[in-house]
Amino acid sequence: MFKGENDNAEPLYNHRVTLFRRGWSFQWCRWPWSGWLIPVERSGHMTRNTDTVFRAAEPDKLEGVAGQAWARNAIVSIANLPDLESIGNQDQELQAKLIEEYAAGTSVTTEWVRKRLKAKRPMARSFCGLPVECNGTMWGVLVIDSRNPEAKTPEFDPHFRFVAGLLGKILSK
Amino acid sequence: MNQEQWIRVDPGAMNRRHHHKVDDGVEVVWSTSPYDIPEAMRSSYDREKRRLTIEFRYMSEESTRREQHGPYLSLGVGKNSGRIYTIEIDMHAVLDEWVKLSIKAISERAKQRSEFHRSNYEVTKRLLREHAPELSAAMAAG
Repeated sequence: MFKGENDNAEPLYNHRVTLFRRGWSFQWCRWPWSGWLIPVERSGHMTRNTDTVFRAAEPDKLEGVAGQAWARNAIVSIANLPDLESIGNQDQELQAKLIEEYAAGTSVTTEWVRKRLKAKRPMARSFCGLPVECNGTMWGVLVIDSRNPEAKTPEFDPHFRFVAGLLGKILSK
Repeated sequence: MNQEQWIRVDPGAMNRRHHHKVDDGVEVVWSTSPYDIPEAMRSSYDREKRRLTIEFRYMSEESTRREQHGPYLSLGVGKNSGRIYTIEIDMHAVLDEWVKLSIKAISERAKQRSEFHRSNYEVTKRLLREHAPELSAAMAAG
């Protein structure tokens, strides 16, 4: 999937694939009764651990790229997100504007973006969320994120169709 | 019974993309789920019963149930996804109207689903319109 980036000798931890499963999770001070997209596996060895969950609810209350793909039952591709890490907080007005832009594009709150920046968590510049099905039922979402603002989206990549079909068969066992 | 070869479907041609730009910079694109686009379709014709069957094949499988839509047509729909897997048409009375009747039945089915779970119906209707001559070939040969 990231063959181009790999050929350019870019570190692979800049490009990740995370598999989210729809399930139930208690979230402090949040809606515990709604479904969540919980990470079950992530590519790479440096950024595998993640505790980020996204709300999987009705379209007006969903969260994140994963939540968008889930609720809309569609592939969601987001490109050209602002580079929040290199801007820093020198120009606070510009930073606030770009944080708003980032949050609007990825369906998260500005507080969520600020928390991640403060914790020095990686901020991807492009995303692709793909629904994962098992026996015709939505099971979860596969999210591909990259530091490359124009990473290729794999929506019609025959490899993705093959992997998604295989994943559905494995999950149905 | 005469059965035609599978007709491969180009997923790129069947995709419906919706673009949205945030502040002239961030680009958001929604595309049809690949699970909703059939990989292939074919037709078969039973001369004795005068029954035309259209089948759609997808990248994932599930069990189906039959739904009758009027006296001459039934749909085989996915139990979980609601996708159209088969269309069976009794050609005794339908004759050349089978595409029109099939599209009407799929549109009726679509009304039962939410806005975000209708992509498959739009794709199957378009495939029927675009490939009607090839799908009818089973009757001529049969």
